[in-house]
Amino acid sequence: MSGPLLALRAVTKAFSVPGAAPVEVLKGVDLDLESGASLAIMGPSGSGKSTLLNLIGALDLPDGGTLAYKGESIRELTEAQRAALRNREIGFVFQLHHLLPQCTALENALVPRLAFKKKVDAEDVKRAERLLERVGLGPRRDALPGILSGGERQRVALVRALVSRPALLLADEPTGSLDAKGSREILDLLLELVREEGLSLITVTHAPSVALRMDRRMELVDGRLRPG
Amino acid sequence: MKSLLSFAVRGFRYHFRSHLGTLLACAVTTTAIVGALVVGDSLRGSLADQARRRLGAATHTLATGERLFRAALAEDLAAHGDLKTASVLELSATLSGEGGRLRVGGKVTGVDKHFWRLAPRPWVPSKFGGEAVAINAACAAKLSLAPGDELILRIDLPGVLPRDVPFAASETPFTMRRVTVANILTEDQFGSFDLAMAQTSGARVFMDREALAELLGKAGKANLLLVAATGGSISALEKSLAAAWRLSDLGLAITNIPGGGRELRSEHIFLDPRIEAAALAAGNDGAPGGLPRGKPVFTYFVNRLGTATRSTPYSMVAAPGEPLVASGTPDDAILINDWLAADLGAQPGDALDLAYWAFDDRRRLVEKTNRFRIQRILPLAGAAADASLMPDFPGLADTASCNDWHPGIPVDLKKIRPKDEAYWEAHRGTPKAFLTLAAARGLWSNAFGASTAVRWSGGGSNDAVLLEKLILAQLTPAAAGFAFKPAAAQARQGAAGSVDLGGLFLGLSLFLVGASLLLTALLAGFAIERRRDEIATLRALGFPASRIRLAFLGELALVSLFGGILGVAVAVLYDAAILSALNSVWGGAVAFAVLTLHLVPLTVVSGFVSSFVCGLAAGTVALQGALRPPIQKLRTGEARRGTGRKPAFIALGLGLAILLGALIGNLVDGGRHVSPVFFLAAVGALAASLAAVRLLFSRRAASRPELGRLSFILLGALRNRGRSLATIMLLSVGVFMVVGVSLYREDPRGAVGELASGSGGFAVVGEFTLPIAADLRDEKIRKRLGLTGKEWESARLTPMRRLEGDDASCLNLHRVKAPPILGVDSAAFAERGAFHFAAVEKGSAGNPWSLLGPPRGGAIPVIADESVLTWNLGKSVGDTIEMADERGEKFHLRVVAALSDSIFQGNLLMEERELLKHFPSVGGTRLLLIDAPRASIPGLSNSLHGALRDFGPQIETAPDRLARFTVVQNTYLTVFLALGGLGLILGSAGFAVVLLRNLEERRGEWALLRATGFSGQRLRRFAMIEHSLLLALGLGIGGLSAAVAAIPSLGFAIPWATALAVFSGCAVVGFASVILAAFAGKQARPLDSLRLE
Repeated sequence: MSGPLLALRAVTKAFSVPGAAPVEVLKGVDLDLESGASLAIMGPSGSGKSTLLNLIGALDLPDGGTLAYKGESIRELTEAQRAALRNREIGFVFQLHHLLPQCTALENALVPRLAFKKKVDAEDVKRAERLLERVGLGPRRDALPGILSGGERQRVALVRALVSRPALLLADEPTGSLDAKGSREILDLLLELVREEGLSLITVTHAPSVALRMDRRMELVDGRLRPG
Repeated sequence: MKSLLSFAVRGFRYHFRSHLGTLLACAVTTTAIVGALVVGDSLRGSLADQARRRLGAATHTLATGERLFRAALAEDLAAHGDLKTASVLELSATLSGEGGRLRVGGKVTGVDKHFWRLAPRPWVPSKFGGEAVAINAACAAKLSLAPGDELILRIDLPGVLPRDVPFAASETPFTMRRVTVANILTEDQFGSFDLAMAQTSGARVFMDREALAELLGKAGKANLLLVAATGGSISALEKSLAAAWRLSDLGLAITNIPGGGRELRSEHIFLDPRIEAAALAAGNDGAPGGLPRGKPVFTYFVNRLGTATRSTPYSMVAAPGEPLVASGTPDDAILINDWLAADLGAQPGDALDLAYWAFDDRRRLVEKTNRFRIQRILPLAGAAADASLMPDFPGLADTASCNDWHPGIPVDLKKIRPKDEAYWEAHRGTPKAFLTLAAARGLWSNAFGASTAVRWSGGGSNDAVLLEKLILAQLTPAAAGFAFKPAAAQARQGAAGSVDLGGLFLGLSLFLVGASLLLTALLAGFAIERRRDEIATLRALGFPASRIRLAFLGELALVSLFGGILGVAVAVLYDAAILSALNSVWGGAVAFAVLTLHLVPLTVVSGFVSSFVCGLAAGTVALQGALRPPIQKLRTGEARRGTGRKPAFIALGLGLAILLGALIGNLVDGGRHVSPVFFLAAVGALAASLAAVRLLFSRRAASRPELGRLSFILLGALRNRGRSLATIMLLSVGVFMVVGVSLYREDPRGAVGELASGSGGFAVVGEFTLPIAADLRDEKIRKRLGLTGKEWESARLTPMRRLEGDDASCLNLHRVKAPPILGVDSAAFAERGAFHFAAVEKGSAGNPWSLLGPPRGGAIPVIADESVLTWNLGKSVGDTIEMADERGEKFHLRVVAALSDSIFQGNLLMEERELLKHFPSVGGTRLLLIDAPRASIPGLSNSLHGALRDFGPQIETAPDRLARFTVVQNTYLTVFLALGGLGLILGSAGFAVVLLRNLEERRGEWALLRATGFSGQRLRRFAMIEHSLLLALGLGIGGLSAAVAAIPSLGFAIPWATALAVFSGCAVVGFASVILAAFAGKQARPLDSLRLE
């Protein structure tokens, strides 16, 4: 594939507010991300980081501009196609693990495989088990989230994000709910896995220590991205 | 914003849209509560209106039954007080249209112009009199009559004695007349006229009173007085009556007797003991201008006077007192006239047998013989030749020869010899023998009297007018059977004390009210939880919890207030719909009374206040929950087997045991499909199914099969196991309670032939408008009446007499005070051991029927159907009821036992002897019970209808009669189904609120799944499948259990369509809720749900 993995050009997004003029959150965002690269996006609260992540993750569509993934415009895709794109190409890691409490660690990791399949197959299970082993949770595969520690839950969330072999990982404050030691461990693990799997990574973070470990840093200010 | 109140008002206005659902739910609660209470007011109001239409302007009535008085008494009474009066002649009759094939029982009411002036809208009919009659709407409907049509009347002839008493005339007990319908009366024209306290009028024909009286040979007579006395008391009326009445009103007359003197005699043959006492007290021997004391006379018709060798048939024997029978004459002495002496060849000192018909305390004719010793032979002259000693025995006194005799007792005319004929021709009923009064009373005293006349000999002033005045002065009208009833006041009381339909409807609306309150709580809680931020802010600002609670409570109060106002407005429409249904398809619930809307302000206000309080309480409960600080979710740990499974196993085992036990028990019992058994089986099925679901959930949670979409969806349902199970349980129990209970039907037909059932083992029950004097148990009599055929060979009959009264069955909505009383041969019933008793007086032993009999503890024991006691009389076993007998004397009844769902519903049951003692005018069979094999029933019914059609028969099988009484109960079950169904459907809408809450709680979960590639459409499908599963389980378990409960009802006329509509409504609303909730849970910005603020 030639060209960037992800390309945003003059992307705009506004939200309507009842009884008031629409609020323009993104006023022309430009971004290129190469395959295998990592990027940190920083910015104050309310700057539009979530909105930008929604657009990059194909959860929403921009009002203006172009957003292309592997050269293909996301705006041309139907909702189902965008869902398929998310499932196969993009992984999400959030600040809170958002594990399903009724599913075990292994089942949580396998959930994305059910988006387009009626049943998980043996290969899926093997991959999930391998990834759980990789993050040190092999013996805890049958544990429900209720008895896992915060760090362990976040590791399960990480495995869930990688089980479908995405090309791009989107991490939204992945260490925000952990203490310093836990944050370091998760960040180290995240970066190792990104390297091992050959993924691109976009991290939204407030923490400079996290941002410094990315290849590039950018800041979202006034609806636009500028180098950080 | 100056105060907490204005804070609440501001919050209410701003958040009005989110409060709208709660407001509507409050409106539903108010509509249901106020609506139910207004139904009750409408019933009471309608019955009161109907009572006014029944009686018009009449406030009091005086009814004397078969004892007729002068029609002119009405005018005489009016002259003595400021009253409006009318004399009416009212009799039972069988009515038939042209062709005569259809005959209905009803009344013929003879009226004059004064009657129409008392109508609700006074009027004067233009065409009325002679053959032109008016009929009411009931008569027109039953016989399909229109003005101009002909109508045949078979009118009950009033007799001098009850028909089944010996000496009552034996000719046809009714007279026939063909008339033409001139008018069909509206309610305002007195078309609803009826003295009976009932919500529907029977068939009635109004004709000119004098024309009717002449037809009966009773010109100028009446038997009912209507009085309009505004503000008049009964004592004032009685005073006026005492001033106006005459002896002829009591059927009495003072006549001259041969040899000077006067005699008081009665057209009813025997003198009532009170009248005899009054007549005797009228004289005062020797006082200046006074009268000598009268003396009672007793004359009787005997069958035979005989010696050892000869006998004389059919003679009069009298006890005239002095001078004929001197005082000091022994009671076993008899004096005979010389004609008799010659006929018998008898001498003084000879024994003389006297054979005569007497009737026992059950009016069974018995021939008795007593022996006397001839003391003297009297010449047939002077006082001994007084033909006037013979009373006016019907069928004897008015005949020219013995061969024309047709008395009410058996007489073999072949025994009449030419010399007897000659005696009759020459001397008529001159007694042939004489006894002392004591002896005569000992032989012939009966319930109707112990004398046939009182005589006053010459001496002092014998002015008949003075005698009448003196006799009447000794009597009070009430004691003479002329008792006024405050009919209008009683009718108002009957209406006011009627079945509490408001309370019943409130009970039937329980599910609707409960569902709306639940919905109120859910919606209020949901609305408040959405304002958690607001609550958190107020807390952060230092508001104590109590103040926050008060502020939100203020908002809820406004919601409840406006919801209540809306609810009251809607309640009017709701009631219009309910009343429309009660006047048509649900007519059985109100025994087909016609109801109109009556709004009583106090009821509306109290209903509004109740629902306001309930709505506020429901909102407060929700508020409490919403204001509780968030509780950290418990760690669930690894899925463990056996968590909470033991109670579920126990419940499963118990449920299965109940189900199987009930079904096996039913099979062992002959597979009769008894409703209570199947209801129990259904409860078992419900419990077992719910327990099985609980165990399945536990098992599924513990076992981890391969992850697939379906198992993933199921895991979602198990996420909050408790809530999921609660949802299933609520739905299933709700469906079962509403549908299962409504389909429950008692099976009166299942117990035909069983002695211990409500039918008592009797196969057929016949009721007759005109009483049947003949004893139908006598085969000869049945043959004479045409009741022949094979079906009669094995039939056993139980005739019963009945004192008329206000129907006290569940088919009459009024609270009655004077129910009909059936006379029971308690010994025969006790021997039969029939019927089932719901309760018996404490301390009683043996068969409850044997508790009937003479008074004990100052009260006559009675038995009644349990429903009569509970619903109409408001009494229980052990309670007493006060009544007045025919002579106006008060006496008490005590309820000693209660029957369970019997064919006697509507009546009290009393030992027959006691009934006849207190109400001697009750005569003839009105109710006939027949024991017969099932195969004979059709033949018996047809036979009775044909042979006894002139008596206005209503013949039905015992099970059909019982089924009639269950119409009310079954209709209430149908109403419960409809109203409960509305509640269920509303509850299904509440299901949507629960789903929305579920989805709200799992917002993060859905967002995460979207982020991992699940499309919105797929997630909505997951949500719909998960929630549909819960809904289907709930409806399925409830529906299946209800179906088990309904098995015995198969073949009944039960509302399958309504049940199916309710079930379908729940399913439709429930699944619509599932779909709506799934779409409502759509998120615009999923990642927002995943960010930690």
